[in-house]
Amino acid sequence: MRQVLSRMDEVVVIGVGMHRFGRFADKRLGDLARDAVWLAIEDAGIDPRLLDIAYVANCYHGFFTGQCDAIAPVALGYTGLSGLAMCHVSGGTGAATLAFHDAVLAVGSGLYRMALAVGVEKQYVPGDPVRSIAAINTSLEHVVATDMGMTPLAELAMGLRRLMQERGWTRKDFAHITAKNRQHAANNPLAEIQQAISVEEILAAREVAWPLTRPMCASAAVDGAAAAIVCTRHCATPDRRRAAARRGDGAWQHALRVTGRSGQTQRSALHGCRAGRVCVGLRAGRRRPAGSRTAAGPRCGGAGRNARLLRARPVCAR
Amino acid sequence: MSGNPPLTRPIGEGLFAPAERSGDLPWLLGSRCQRCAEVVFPAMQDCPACVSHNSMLGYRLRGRGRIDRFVVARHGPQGFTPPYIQAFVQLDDGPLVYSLIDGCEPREDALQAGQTVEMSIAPVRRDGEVELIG
Repeated sequence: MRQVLSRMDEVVVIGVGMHRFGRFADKRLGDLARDAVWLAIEDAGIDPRLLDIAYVANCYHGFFTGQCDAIAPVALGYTGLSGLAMCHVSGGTGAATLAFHDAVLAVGSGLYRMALAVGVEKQYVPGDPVRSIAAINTSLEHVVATDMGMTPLAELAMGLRRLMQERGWTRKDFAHITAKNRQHAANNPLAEIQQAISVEEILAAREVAWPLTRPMCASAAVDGAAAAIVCTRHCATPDRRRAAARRGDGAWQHALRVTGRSGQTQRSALHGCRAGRVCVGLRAGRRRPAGSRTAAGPRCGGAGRNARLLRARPVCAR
Repeated sequence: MSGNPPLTRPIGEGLFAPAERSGDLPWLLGSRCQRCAEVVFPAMQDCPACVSHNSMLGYRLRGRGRIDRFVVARHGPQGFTPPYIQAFVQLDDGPLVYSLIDGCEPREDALQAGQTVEMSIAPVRRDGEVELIG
């Protein structure tokens, strides 16, 4: 892998777009994706015919509609990009990140010149929030444990408790992360919830599964989409950058390097996110508990395939 | 039909076996690798530790271990009545398994990590007229 990375071309993000996250009963999956994709194309200032391939992340369209295959054409069918080569990517909360990862590899490896990554979910069912939650529960491997009541949220909460034990993190630390994210959301007209909230309010809110309170968890019944366009640095020509600069959109000056020669990969991407606008493209997809990257990361590490079933009682219950 | 005992069915096939004698713990039906001695539950044919093919034979585990981590779930899927306790239990025989915990109040201070627990078989939820046990 290191050898491959060392030979990869430098990849940059040249455009991003996002459909607001929220509840949009009157919109189809394709409508959400369409807005995000065209905003990304306009942001990049490219002729969309330059796109070589699209990676489309979606997890639950099949659950709600029965359409389990051909998700990518369904999602992009209203964009006018129907002749574009496209791949469907699935992977729970990380689905859009996987699509982005694939797009970066596709152009960095030299296989394609320009790629589109899209994350889109439509999970809001009017009057039936239980169905939205049931959709999310399909992201948990269906085993005996799920038949016995294990939920992704509880699994996540248990993983957090483990990390708190190991690393000394506190519930208040998570509340600070939530407060920080909600502050960002308050400044983002495309965020689902646009009200800031204090650490004290977060800690005093209804408990969902300790240490998580309600504001630390995003809604299951939410729709939204985000898109990013990547290409190699040499594909983003100076002429195009200057033209974009004249238009004042700034996309090409701010083209974000997401991978480079060996050793520059993740660090560059993270610096770029902090620096500016591109992070919305990386946040495609759906809910992320307030623990943010930290909370969603380890996912209860050791409790994988061998963790299944037992019903037990405490020997010395107090 | 009132008066008839409810129909019961295990939550899954081939997962556990009752104790032979009263007072003993029921058995969990796992498997053990002949090459590396890895013990897993539920049973598998191929070893996830040494990744060898058809290397595992049936192995009975005693349902006894220690709580690795737990949570009091305030929400649950259909058929479950919150609050209830979910946990991962590190069995004395090796595997880490998911478990419901009963026999204590569903409160944060009713349990602690490292506490010893023993397996019991009890109703988990209803599926129509059938009571699922696990």
